[in-house]
Amino acid sequence: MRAWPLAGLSPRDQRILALTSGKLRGSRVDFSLALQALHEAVCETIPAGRIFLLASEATSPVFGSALSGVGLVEGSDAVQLVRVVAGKLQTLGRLLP
Amino acid sequence: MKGPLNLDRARHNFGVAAPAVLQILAEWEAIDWFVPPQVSGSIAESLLHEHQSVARLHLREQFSGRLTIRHRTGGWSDFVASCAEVRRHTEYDWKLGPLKDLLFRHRERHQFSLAELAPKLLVPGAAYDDRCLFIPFRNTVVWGHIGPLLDFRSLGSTVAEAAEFYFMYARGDTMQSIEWQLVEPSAPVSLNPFLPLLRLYASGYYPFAYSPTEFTLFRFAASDS
Repeated sequence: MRAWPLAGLSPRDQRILALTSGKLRGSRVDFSLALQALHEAVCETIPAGRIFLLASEATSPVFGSALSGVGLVEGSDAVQLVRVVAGKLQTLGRLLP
Repeated sequence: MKGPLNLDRARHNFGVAAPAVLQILAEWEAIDWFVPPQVSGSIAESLLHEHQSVARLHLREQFSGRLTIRHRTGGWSDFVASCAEVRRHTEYDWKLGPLKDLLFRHRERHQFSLAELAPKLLVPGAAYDDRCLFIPFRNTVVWGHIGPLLDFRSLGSTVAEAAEFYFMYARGDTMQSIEWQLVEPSAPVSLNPFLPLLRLYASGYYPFAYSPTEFTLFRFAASDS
């Protein structure tokens, strides 16, 4: 499983992503399962928490936090962790190794 | 600073909640951001008290009937300092704590499921993108970008970051206000605890909370906005 914390993320994002990762038990998963896990993790961390459509890439929508811009996108072989800044995507790495 | 919403109202059918939701959207869209106020501080205080009073009807234990309200007047550097101060003040998170709890309890009381409702709020055949309020995606519901799409970059990076920070949390209040009405569609907007907050922003006063009873209302000085 990925080591947390990941540099550059807020403590709240770290908590949510670690929880997401834990729910997936480190296994390779498809994007739907990752999104479901992210949604559960957000709701467990923030009451009435929500996920936003941050951007739309050619291959996949990007879903995540409107506050930090950190989200998930479906990559060619794995779910990728990204940050959307001013509409541009920065890849932070795979959600899971 | 203001702009049109990103939301495409024509793709939505809010049903019984439509008059209230459209009113909330119109009030949100009309806000001119980060400008000196046009009303007195006592009117702004009344709006904050109204918010607290309505919130107390629904979640008494987290919203105090007695507030200490301070006022701060300044320019962008003071606003940036206020944003930095509230971010350092991690013991109390007004926006993601009591305000989120307020909506969460409201959902629970009414056994509300956004996942069930969201697909029904979109006109059949409407495309799903960020101009929708909700986007059903597989077994989840995500939120679009209601906007307005304000470009803060001309303010310079430090100020833009603070303005964006404040604006995004205020936008969350709007979405909570809308969801509140969807949970209880026929409820009068006067019982929506989030709407007075939108009116507070519209009045040109920007609240910062440091505890359940301590608030500062920031306003831009007339010569430096």
